[in-house]
Amino acid sequence: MNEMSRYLAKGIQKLAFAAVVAMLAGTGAAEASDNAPSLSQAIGALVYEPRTDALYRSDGRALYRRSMAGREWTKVSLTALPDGSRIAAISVSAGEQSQLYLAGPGLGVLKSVDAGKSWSHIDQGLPSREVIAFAAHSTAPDTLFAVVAGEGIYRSEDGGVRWRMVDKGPDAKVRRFIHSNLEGSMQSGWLFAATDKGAYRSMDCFCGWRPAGSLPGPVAAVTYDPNRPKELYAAVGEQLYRTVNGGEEWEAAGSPGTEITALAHSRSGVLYALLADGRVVHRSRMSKRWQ
Amino acid sequence: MAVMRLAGLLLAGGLVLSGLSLGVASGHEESDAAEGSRALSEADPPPLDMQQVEAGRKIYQEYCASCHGARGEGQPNWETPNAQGELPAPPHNAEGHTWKHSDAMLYRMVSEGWRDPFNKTRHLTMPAFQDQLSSDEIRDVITYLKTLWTPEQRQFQWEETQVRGGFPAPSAASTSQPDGARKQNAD
Repeated sequence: MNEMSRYLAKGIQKLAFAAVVAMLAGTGAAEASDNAPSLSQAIGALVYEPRTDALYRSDGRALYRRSMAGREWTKVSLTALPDGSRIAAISVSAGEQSQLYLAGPGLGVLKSVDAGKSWSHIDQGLPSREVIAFAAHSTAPDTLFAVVAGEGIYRSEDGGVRWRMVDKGPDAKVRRFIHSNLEGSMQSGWLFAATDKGAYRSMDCFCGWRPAGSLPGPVAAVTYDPNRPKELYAAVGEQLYRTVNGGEEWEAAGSPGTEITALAHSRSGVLYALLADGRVVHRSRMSKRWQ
Repeated sequence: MAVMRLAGLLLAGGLVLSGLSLGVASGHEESDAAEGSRALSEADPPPLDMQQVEAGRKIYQEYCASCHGARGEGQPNWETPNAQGELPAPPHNAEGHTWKHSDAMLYRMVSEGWRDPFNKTRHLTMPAFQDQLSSDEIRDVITYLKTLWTPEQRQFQWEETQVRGGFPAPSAASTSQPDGARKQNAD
């Protein structure tokens, strides 16, 4: 019996090893990733929070909030961020609760259910805290997507309790990505990624990333109009680009005169841009004039 | 005792495999969340019905192989749409993405077809087979496709099916689907 057990155990170990090797080869998890952190990735972050009609922005280390009525930025208290970490993404969940998420390399994913008064890590199910991009689902409140450097895209459908690797991501360095409720997906929506090779899109069943049209350089940020999901905006340097057909064709849509690092869009039709000098400017849908 | 050690090895091996395939935490503290990720993988996909597999293989060769390849290898450059936005037929084997879809979605795709929203032609991206295949035959061919995937992909697809739905119930499917070849054969 002991002999038989040892024999079987050795066989199982060999099978397990072979399966692990095959799986790593298959998923690409052992390969050098295009999504390793680099200086070329997201600088600062910006999001519009509809429940309280507020903007949140970050310079990478601190978080600020501005209500539309108040116009003044106030610092949101955070526990000290780990050395070397930074905030690369701010996201707001769909639904009535509108939970707030912060994510970034070295930071992992933080969640607040009380408008930033307290934060908790929800990244224990991720392979590391090297989160280089993050997006909340546009309609499903508990569904989240995180790009982990050297690994790929992880999805949680329970607000960050469980995470599962779902895709390697596009063949480009992802700086930011968003989930959109654009129609025509096999599942529940689309993901648009701002990358060093342009804009990419994928259905959220992850049936393959495709270039979303042609843009003239690395894309720093992408956002969309939630009332018109085919209408997206992308930032390339100082220039804003706009598409009205889901990323098939883009047209230049004005420039605020300074490099754009992040974009956000309100449901009332206002587009916000975080600039490299830290300012946040905005314009209405029908105007090219930044304020 | 030896049996217990063997069971322990099996369990550990299973956790290692499932941990890697599901992206379970490593490198920082354990938590309920990490435990939750492991728990997802403990329900293994049920074994395939080999009669269904064999029936599905024949249907696949007759209806699907001309586009998706005799071994499910898909068409060349299947990830790149042509100038009209039409996508070549993707692989159904481990190189493709069929394994990422639940049974419910795969059934709907085969039955009703699907149109990529960026396809500028009048064609469906994936043709509908509800007029050619019975509901049983659609189930059979999807069951056959599962033999083309890795164990990890089968696990993933099984979990997707548990979350997003399986095949339609036979009675509902048979009432909603036009008669197919199997029914003709039965007649």
